Amino acid sequence: MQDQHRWLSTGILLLGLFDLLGCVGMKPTTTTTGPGGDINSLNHIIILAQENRSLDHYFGYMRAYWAANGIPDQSFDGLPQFNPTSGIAPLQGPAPTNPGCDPTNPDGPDICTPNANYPVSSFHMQSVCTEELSPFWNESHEDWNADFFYPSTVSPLLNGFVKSAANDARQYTAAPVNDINGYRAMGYFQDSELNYYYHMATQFATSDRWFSPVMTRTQLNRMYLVAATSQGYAYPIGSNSADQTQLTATTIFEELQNAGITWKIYVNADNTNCATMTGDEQSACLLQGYSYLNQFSYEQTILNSAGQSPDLLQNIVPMTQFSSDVQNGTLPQVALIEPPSIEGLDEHPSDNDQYPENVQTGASYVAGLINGLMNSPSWKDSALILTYDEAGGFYDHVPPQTAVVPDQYSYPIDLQPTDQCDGANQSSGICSFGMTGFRVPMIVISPFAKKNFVSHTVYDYTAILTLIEKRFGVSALTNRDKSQADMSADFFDFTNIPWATPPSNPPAQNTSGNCSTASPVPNAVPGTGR
Amino acid sequence: MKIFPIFALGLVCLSARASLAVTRHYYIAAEDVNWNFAPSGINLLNATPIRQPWSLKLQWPKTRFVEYTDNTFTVRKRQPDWLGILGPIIRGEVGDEIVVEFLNRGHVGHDMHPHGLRYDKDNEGSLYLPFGKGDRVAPGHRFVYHWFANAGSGPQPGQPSSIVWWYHAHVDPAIEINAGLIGPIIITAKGKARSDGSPKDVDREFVASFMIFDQMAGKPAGLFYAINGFIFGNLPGLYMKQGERVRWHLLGMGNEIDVHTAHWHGETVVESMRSTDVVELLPGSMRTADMIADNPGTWMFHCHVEDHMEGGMMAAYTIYPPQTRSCPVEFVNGDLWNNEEKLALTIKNASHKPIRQLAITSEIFLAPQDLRRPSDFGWSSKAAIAPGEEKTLEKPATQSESMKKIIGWAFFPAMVKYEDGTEWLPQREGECFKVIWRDSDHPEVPALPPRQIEINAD
Repeated sequence: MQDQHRWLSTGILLLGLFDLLGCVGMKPTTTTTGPGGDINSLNHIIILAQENRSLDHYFGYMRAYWAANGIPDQSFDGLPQFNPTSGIAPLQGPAPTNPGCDPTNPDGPDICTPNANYPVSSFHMQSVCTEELSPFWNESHEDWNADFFYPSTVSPLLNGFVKSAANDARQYTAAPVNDINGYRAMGYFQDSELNYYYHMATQFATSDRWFSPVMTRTQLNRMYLVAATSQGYAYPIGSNSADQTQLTATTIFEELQNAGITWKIYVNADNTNCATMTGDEQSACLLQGYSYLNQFSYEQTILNSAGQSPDLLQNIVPMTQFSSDVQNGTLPQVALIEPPSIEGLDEHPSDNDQYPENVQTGASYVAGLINGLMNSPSWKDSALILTYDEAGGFYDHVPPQTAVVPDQYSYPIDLQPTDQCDGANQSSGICSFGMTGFRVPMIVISPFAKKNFVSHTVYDYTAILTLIEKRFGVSALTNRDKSQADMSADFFDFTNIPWATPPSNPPAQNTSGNCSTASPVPNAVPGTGR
Repeated sequence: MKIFPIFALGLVCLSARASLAVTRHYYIAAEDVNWNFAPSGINLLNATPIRQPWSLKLQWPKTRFVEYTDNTFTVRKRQPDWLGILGPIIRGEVGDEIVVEFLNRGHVGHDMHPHGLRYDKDNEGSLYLPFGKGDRVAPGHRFVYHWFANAGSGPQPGQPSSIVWWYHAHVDPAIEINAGLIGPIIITAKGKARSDGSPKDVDREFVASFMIFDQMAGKPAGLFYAINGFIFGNLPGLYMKQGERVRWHLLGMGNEIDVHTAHWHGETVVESMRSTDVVELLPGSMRTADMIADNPGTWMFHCHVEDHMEGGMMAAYTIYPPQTRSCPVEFVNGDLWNNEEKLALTIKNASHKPIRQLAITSEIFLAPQDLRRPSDFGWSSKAAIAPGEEKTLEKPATQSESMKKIIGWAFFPAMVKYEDGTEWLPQREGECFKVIWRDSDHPEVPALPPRQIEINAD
């Protein structure tokens, strides 16, 4: 306790020094602590989007966890089989299923032909490492409806997750994937695997209506994360002749820079070619190679500012600086932590069975960041929002929601012939950018986060941009972030500061789970006959 | 000046079966074109974006040598895809006369200058003092070059039976070579040529030129590290059958940075009486290497200079195994571009047994070498098909506008179940494939390129 106290004093001293030395030319921002504050009490917003997990897949077991641990029940729309039989809605329902692959392979062994006579039921994942699935545009639309064919078959049946996962294994993976029947799409984790996240989601504020912004894969969702648009792209830049150029959309960082708000992007440099570099050279290396900001032409602006004033490259820093910034009170006003993918700590399913990726080591890494923040002088006026870039092809029982089209690109400009929705040319609905992706997990970790809170308001995570814009007085980037509900009025309580003292003993994240991508399923999967 | 006798074209063909000296006629025009260094727009060796700065602009104005069927210069002669930006192969056997009627369709003066062949001053095709008649052909004008393949033009003892030489424009050579006015000459030893000039002891010849095209006065965005004018695996057509004797003619050209080391994965070659898998090339170099294509697969072929690899000086070649068993179905034809409502594929039972059920896989070419699997790629039939019977399979289509971007549909059987309970399954991906091309003059491909699958997905 004494040690912690000394840390705090040192931190405050350093913070004071920083205030004296830095921030020249910056817009003054209010630092209000103590009861009676408002959103301006929040001085540091930290975004951490890990990779590829759906809400049901991670937190579907939440109410059973609460029941088993004597935590008072409240509404949380997880997997229906874990809802109580009476009390607060939603109430218990049957475990969801998806049609499995017809074992006679009527369309050939390369194709999973879904057949309702072979259902695959939601099951407890037996391995903390999972094989790759595909959350791409086509597969996401087939997840939504296994027979997706615009315009004839587009209603949301959420019955294609197994099919997509099976076909990914059968057709697309460079390394062999064992699970050619796609069972893994229906697997979920419990608090036994994700004890830290279950605990923190319960203590702090979470949501059961938090969606990824667009029904396709990582790169595009991460464009939305910082710019609230993918400017018409459904594929990553350079996938085909229609999507060669970087996005010209304004990113939140450019907007913050122009407003004099400090920002940083923390990028993991370990085991990269940038590791041994320093200064601007390292920043340029990290930006170009390992930050998703490299999808924007703003990357060029940053690179061109090397040695200029301001030198924007100084905002791109190695992840090692995060803990020192946290401890020294030198966090910027807005921070983005890029997922540590090179290190295999981004919680993504394994690209290759030879190098299995473990959700527990990823969660343990995140726990380290969160615990470090909670035990630092930066805690008092910070919020870390943990979420996932997209649902990764894992089953979720809530369909994507209609949303506001961000900009003039209402429909993808880079679909390939025969792609799902190619030729549909919609300005709203399932083939347009007027639709979110699937639900993803989220937790707001902050002294201002409400205790034991579950939001039921529909958001996609461009709402984080909306929160930043509100706090720092900058304008919406597109119609998408403009249309989001106000997180500050929902997840936060700036008056009472619920977690002024952070929870004292968060559990250490388990890391001893069975990691075996070869057997993602129990010996008998309900309904599969195996 | 016309000291060489000129034979009628028919006589050339007749006389060629014997090892008599013949005259070989070529009709070649210099033409301004728009050249795309990577028509697929992507790095086809790992299905990733072509990095900046090259991705900023891939298509540039170039000038090329283009071959025609006769001196009306109306019908182009289709050259192998793998020649890329190079002009046509000019072939000869030692002793032959080579007559090239050259038409300059460019916007400035050009000419044609051969390496290795014997010419006189008028036929040198190079602008310097003292002038010769063929040293600068004005735009819209023609010149007929007469070149001779003498003993010095052909292989010496110990060399392979055919060797390669450059030809290129030489009015303002640095600019013209960089523009693309370059091509190969292959001369076969006396008595070792087939009637078309190719060597009898070789099953297949390829020409690969390693040269950096500079489009922006040295700026990185304009430096294209190309093999035959293509970067990042976009060079098409390097197919060979397992067991073939394959000859690679390698050419270097360019500037001080054009120090290249051509490297094959998957095979070794014999070059300059040594076994190697790397051949050194300098600007102007001409080398010939022999390969026995005995290792089936798709293999990388690239420059081993690191900056050049980074810049895309790489291609893939494919050694395909022979088809050793009969195919269960034949792909008769397809209605794949003209119907907005549906796609149709007509197949025929090519076996001697009634088929009970079958599944076909379809894939699409979006550019040469750019093979992808569409989202709904399966075609199946659950109706009986008698031996020899044709059947048309149908699928709903999306908008035809978009479908027109598909340059070819590849089909191959995924599974065939016969009435007698036996089953045919492919032994390798694409076995028994057929490509139906949008443009009827598209050359057939003997094997499918690797399907574009991302190595690391997110």
